[in-house]
This record gives sequence, C-alpha cells and structure tokens, in this order.
Amino acid sequence: MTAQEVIKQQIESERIVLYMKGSPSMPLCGFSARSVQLLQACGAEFTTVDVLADPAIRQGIKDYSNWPTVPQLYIDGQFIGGCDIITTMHQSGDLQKLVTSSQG
Amino acid sequence: MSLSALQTVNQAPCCPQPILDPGIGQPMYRNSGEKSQKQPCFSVFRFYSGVAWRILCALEITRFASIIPTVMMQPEQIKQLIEQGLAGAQADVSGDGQHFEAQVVSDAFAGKTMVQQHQLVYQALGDKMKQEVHALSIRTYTPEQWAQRTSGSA
Repeated sequence: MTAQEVIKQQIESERIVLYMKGSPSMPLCGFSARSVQLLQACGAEFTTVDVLADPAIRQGIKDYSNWPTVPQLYIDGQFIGGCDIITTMHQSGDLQKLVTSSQG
Repeated sequence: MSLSALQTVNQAPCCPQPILDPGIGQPMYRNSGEKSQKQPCFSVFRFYSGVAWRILCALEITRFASIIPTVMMQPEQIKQLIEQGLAGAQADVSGDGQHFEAQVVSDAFAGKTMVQQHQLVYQALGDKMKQEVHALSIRTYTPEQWAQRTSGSA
C-alpha cells in the first residue's frame, strides 16, 4: 500500500484523526500539544498518528491535503485544518459542534 | 574502537565513567590489583568528549556556511511574498526567523473556507514553506471582517 492509501484508510476508518508529532501523552511540538488539548477540551475521542514515526506518512499527509504543516485534523474523512484553524474553531464553538455531531 | 572496548562498556551500562582517567597520554587500566591482570580499558568519557568535539566542529562549520546566503527568513520577506502572491493582500508579519505569525487581509478570501484561505497564503509562500519556515501561524480576514475587527476593538 502506498502512503496515500494508508492515509486514506486511516482517515476513513476513524471518525476523528489527528496527525501530529509525538503522542497525546508526549507531544513533540507545541502546535501538536495545543491541538490535542483543544480536542480533549471538547470531549473528543480521537485517534492520533505520529508522523515522526514514518517519513512516508509525514510527507504523504502534506500531499494528501495540500497543506504544508502538521498537526492536521480530520473529522469524518474531511480535512478540518491545522492548529490555527482548530484554535479559531474552538473559540467560536464550531469545533465543539463538529465533534458532538460526529460522535453523536 | 576495539571489541574489548565495547565489551567493557557493556559490562557497566549504568556507569558513564567506569574508571578514573589517569591523564592524557597515559594508558587506561582497570583497577584490578595484579599488574598481570591489567587490561586496556575504554574510557566512555574520552569517547564522548571526542564525539562532542566533532559535533561542535560540524555545527560551527554549518553555522558559518549558512551565514553566507543568509538563509534566515525575515518577517519582511514573508510579507512581500504573501503580498506578491495574493493580489491586493495586505500582510502583517512578525517572527524570529523560523517561527512567524501573519495576519493577512485580502478580497480573495471572500466566500472561501478557512482551509482554502490558508492554502492561498501557503501557495504564495511556495517552497519557502517547505524549507526555511519552520512554523507559520496564519490569521486570514476579508476586508469586511478586518473592518469589523478593528472597529470592534476601538
């Protein structure tokens, strides 16, 4: 399977997927840490993929979404955005709505 | 590094300095009493100081090499790239050479999702985003949103 196929499968098999550096318990980047915190604050149950564990995924996820940075959040197969967008959506309450509707 | 040296390290994995360094130029021996049983020993301290020195040298070389083309991006360069790439955009960029924050106001953002708006900014930066810029925090506004924002805070 190519990296693109692996990513597609990950995103489609889980409701909420966060591509990040490190893990939720040990994030290796401030932006990833922040994204995890905001998702947890919304009570989201999410899967994470550590891009540092696989260079093919690390590059592949940037190509997949045409987005040059990590973290990247996907909900129900849709690319939601990076840390800035997650932050803005959290402030406006849109992230909470999205998480609730996805899990509800 | 000889095999015996590796074995000595393996015997004392939790002790970074298994023996005292007798001084530069002196052979290293385990303090085992009988002279006949003395065997050359590997000093972890010496090994690591050698490695550290090499790393320092390499860092110094790359540092000086990188000064020549001035690889560090300046906030002003990012501002220019964004404003050139996005017609009619106004950007305000601050940053330390690797981490940046940009506020961008442009007509082009109207009717687009936040993802699409940020993608426009990334597009304007092109390859710079892949190499020089480690992190860029972006806030995008249409001129209307910007006017609301500034009047709201006044």
